[in-house]
Amino acid sequence: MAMAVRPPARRRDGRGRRRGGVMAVAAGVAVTAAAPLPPGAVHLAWVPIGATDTDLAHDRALLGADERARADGYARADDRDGFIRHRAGLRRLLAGYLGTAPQDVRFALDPGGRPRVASPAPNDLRFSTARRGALALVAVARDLEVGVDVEVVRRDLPVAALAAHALDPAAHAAVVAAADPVHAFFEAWTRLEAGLKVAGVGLAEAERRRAGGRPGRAAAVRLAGRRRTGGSGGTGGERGAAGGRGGGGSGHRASHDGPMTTPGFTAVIMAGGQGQRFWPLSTVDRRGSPTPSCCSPAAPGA
Amino acid sequence: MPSLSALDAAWAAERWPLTLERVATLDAASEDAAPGAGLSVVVPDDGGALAWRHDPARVAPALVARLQARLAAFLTDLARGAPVAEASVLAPDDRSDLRSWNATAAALPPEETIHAAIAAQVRRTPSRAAVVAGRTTLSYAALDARANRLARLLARRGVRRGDLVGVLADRDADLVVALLAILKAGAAYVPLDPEFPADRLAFMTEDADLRLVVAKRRTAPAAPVAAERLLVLDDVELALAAEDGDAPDTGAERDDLAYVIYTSGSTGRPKGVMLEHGNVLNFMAGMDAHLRPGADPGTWLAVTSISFDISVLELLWTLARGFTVVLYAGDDRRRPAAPPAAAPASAAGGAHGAGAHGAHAPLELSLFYFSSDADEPGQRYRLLLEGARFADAHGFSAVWTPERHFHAFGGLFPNPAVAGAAVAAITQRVRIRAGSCVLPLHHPIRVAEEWAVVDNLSDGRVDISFASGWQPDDFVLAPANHAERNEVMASGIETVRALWRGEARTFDGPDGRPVTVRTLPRPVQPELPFWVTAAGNPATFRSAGAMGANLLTHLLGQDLVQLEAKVRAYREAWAAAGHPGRGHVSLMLHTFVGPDPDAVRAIVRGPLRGYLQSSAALMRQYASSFPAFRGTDAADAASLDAAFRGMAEADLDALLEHAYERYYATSGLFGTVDEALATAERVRAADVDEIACLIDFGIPTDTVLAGLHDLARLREALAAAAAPSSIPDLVARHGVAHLQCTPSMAQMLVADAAGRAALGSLERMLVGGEALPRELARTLAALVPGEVVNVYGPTETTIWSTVQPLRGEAVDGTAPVVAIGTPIANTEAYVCDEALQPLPAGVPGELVLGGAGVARGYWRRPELSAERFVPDRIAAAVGVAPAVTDGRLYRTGDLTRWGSDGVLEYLGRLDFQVKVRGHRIELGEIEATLDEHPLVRQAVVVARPGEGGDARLVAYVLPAGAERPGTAALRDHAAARLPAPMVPHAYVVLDAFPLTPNRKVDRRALPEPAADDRDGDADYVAPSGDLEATLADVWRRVLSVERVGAHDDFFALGGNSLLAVFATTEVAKRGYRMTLAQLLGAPTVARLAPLLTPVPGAGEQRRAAAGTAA
Repeated sequence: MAMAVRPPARRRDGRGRRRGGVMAVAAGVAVTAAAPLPPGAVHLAWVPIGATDTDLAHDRALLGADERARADGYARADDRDGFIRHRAGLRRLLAGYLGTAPQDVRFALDPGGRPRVASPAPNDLRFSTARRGALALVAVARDLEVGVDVEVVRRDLPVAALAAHALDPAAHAAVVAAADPVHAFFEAWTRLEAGLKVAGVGLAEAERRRAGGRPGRAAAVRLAGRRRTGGSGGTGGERGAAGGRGGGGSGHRASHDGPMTTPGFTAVIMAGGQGQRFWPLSTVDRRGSPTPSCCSPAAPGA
Repeated sequence: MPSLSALDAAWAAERWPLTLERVATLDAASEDAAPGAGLSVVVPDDGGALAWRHDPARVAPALVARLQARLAAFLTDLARGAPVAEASVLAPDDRSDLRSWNATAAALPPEETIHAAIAAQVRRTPSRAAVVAGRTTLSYAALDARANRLARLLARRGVRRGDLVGVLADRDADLVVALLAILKAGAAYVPLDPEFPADRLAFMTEDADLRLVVAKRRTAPAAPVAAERLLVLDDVELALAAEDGDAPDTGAERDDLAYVIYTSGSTGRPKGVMLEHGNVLNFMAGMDAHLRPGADPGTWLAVTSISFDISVLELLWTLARGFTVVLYAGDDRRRPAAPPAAAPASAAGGAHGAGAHGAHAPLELSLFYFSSDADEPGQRYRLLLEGARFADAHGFSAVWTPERHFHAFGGLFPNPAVAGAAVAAITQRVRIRAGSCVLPLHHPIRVAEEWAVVDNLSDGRVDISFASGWQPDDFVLAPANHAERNEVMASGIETVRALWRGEARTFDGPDGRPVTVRTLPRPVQPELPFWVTAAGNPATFRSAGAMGANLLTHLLGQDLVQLEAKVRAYREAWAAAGHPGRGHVSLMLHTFVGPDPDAVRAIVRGPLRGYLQSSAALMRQYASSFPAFRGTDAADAASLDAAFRGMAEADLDALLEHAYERYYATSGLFGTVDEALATAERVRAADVDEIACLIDFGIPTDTVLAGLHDLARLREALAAAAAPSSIPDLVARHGVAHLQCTPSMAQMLVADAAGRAALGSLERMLVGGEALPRELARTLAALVPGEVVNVYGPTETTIWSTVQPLRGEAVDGTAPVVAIGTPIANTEAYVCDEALQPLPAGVPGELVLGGAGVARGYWRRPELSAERFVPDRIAAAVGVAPAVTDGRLYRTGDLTRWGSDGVLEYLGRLDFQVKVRGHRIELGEIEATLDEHPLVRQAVVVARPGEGGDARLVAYVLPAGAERPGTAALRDHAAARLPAPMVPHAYVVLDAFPLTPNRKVDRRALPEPAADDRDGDADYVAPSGDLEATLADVWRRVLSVERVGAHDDFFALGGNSLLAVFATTEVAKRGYRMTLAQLLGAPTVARLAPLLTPVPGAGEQRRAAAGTAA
């Protein structure tokens, strides 16, 4: 039977704007030819950074001099090794899209402070990456700003104080009122950071703007507030933790119990088009499976 | 002056002090050695003669005589005008020692090539088992014939004598077939380990200029070559069958290349070592002499990756000598913990199941309900519910229910969403699948909504297979969709998936007004995992792959061979579209498994005949193989049906019986667990991922439910067959008598009871590839009832070059590392100084090897080859038999020393000699010292780059028992026994060392020591002043570190943006205002402190904070 199915990533909505669809990409796989990444699609990959995942010396050899220097600056071995594996994995992944060798990728910062691939040039690749604990994520798109952030949900932090300092009043209030304020804070925080990355606004700048008495101006801050008002407030985390994802016995699900199963992560991927319009695509729950967020892509700029 | 330093080293090694005394005349010297010295050389100012005074209780007179002779030889060379560097320090007795230690001339095997040697064994023992791998056993004759066929196929694919062919294979019987076939084709093999990083594989493939890469279906994606240079063994069965089973003659000879193995280079670029058939034949002669295999030498467990040359002993020498080789498939410890595509797979929807196809993914079983027309009023859904509970509890992957309308057959299941909701409510883990949802009959909104409910009820366990419909009458539900049902299904899938994702979709409302809607309830899974139901049409398989759909199919109108080709097309389409993973193929099969084969037949016969009778299509399918209809075109339905109608009842019955027999044999999962296992393996071989077991085709419910236990046993057997066996399992199962492994692997075997039991049944064990710690040697000698042999050799001199059986002094001696013994057949060994002058016994130097094992060199690396492979000038100078040398020597880079008995002692790698504060340090010596600590099982010391080019020594230790040795205890132990520069700076206790794929300690993968492991820190500067102390206190708390110095960087200590915000709030608590920008710009305590300003009116807090900090 003949199928006439267009890939979802190319679909346009009524106003002709591209919509993103998150698509998972294999991690650790070196793509030898340029990988297909249609405009409007956002690929999400995780980078294996466990101690036995990759050959550290080999990974280190892929890094640029500045990255190696930064690696050497870490006081703790796990920070250093995680950084090395993360950067090497990022390079492998991007190299697949760029059709080049991992060690040949050169990075630069754009005026907004967002990392870009400087070489090979020209390219329209946009990416964002974040690592915390054992989880390193990379979001990749073409011609579309993306932001990804991940945090370990730590129960030992004074989240009320942090929320008061880092979030706008509405988001702060929502965190305090949440059933699980710790989780709510980390969700809001990763959302904030992912949004800042899309917007190309540094955290210090966001803080300055907030302190300057212009709450709500910083797009990311507004976004963090909207998150609270728009949704159930829950995340996939509770569901994931309930064990409903299938145990080892269910073959194709068993693989979810891989390195990303360490509980207690929150992660957010966002993408944005022109100007400051951007929207959260997905939230990664504690077990690492992306789950839909409340403000899913259907409501950009709403 | 290397020669003199050699003398010095000889004395130092014996640990008695030497004094040089200068006297005016010899008459003035005392008769005795200087007080405290074992030997004094007295040098008179008036020249002419030296006096040697020694304490005979400490220094044997014979040794003094030998030293005098060496000095005389040295002075004689100088007197002849030899440059100092070339003057020999060998006494005549030293030369004669070296000659006798190198008297290794031996006859080579008569054959010209490795494969000829194996062919000779094939002729001797054709029916003996040659290779056992998993459930496969190849006899010598079968191995030979299969390798001959593959060799011919390789030739057909362009492989010629002298070519290099890559091997990227799983560890199964075909691995051995492939190696042998490549040799038979006249080519040399190049091992490509699927576990290697992709860029390393790419480098090797490119560098070696491989003619072809032989792979398996699983490993093929890792092959960095174009399809025309790839031969996938799973895909060439038919082509192989067409080849001749006789050996091709390529004319290969001893100096043809047999293999090229890439080894790590110190420069980071791997280098290919070129070995010839003659090298390996000589090695075989050496092993024959030492290991003396008899006519029936028994079973050898081969555990080593082919990218490590010691596998040649396990796989090729053994097969040339009549061993049965059992292949150990390896463990998973170095594989990525999970197939990478899988974790976020649910985000891609179509990637569902992508991760299940790793090396050992077992064939899954699920239950498929279709319902028969046999009605059991009162308990219509008992089989569904009880079966679902059973499936949930017994590892089945899914429960499928169909959509059927208007027919008794299947009549229980008009709506799979409703049945699925019931299953959701009583199960916890099985997937709940529609098989199928006939999408053109329904509005996509309705489908999305119903299944979203089930997804919530089941906490995200819904999968849907979509079908376009096969029963025209069903379309009374949506008559308009019938004509275009395929297109309607395709666009419907698209819509359902979008709605599932939460996207808004616009549909026509009343009066043509567009209405935009979204699906509620929101499903749990962000993307809908979906299948497409395919009958036999290859186009459907391809389009399913292209759209990233999993696939549900059956064996009506297609057999397994046809299905395999279609599955391949499906996978190709999947990959070509760029979807991650490779898709999931579910195959529906009528299933009944029971303990008694005859009973199973009796149980299924009636229901199956009924089923076949009800399906005209099925009858047509089997009629074509029935004598009366042979030659009839099964597709000619009309004439066949007419023929059926015209048949006598008896004939019709015979036809039905024939159809039943055929169906039973080929199209179901029937019989005992073992019979079903064989069927399942054939299904697996067709690259199917799951058998959807159709269980409700008319067998009484109780019988079906009872049979599920046997089906569960089948599932367990499938899972067990896919799981790799451990070394102890294999030793016990196959009566393994011989094993070769690295000390690291031996260490792991010794560490657990099963491993010790396995060692206790070995007749012989070879240990090599790393220094063998004496403690381990003692343990092995005690555990292994047979002979344990320590073997040594670099890849460049063909596998093993020296051999040391573990008995007597070799086990009981005092050196921390076991001696490596004496050279094997046709092998020369010298210990040389930096000027490549041979050294006498007792003097450490670089081991240099010559003889018939010396490799041709490094592939396309002439400079490096010239550096490591040097002309042999020593053999002639010392008088070693010309038969032994081949004119070249290989510099091993290993530090060794001759014992006075002609046994080589291993002292460490020359690369591991490092300079610490100007002192030359042997890492091996430090390791050996730490090994002696009672709480230490094994120690590895590495030098990491430190300040000013000095190395920083880091010790890594495995604890001997539950108690972990403390840093202070280890340092005290080392400091009490080693000179200060050799005492490690940091100590890290690990539970296991990282191993290379070759199962050696992977020194490069050892973790950097954490700050806490560091022994002191010269860089530490204490914070000064209250504010710096307060900041340091905040950082300690925020970063959870022990100590923060004034110049420590916040982010280098593990800080990140969130912790920066945390620090800001903590600093504020202590009465100071700090912005993130300030912290980012000045990330050390010392730089930050001057920038901070007190918060007005927060004096109390500041005082309190100062109090806490103090």
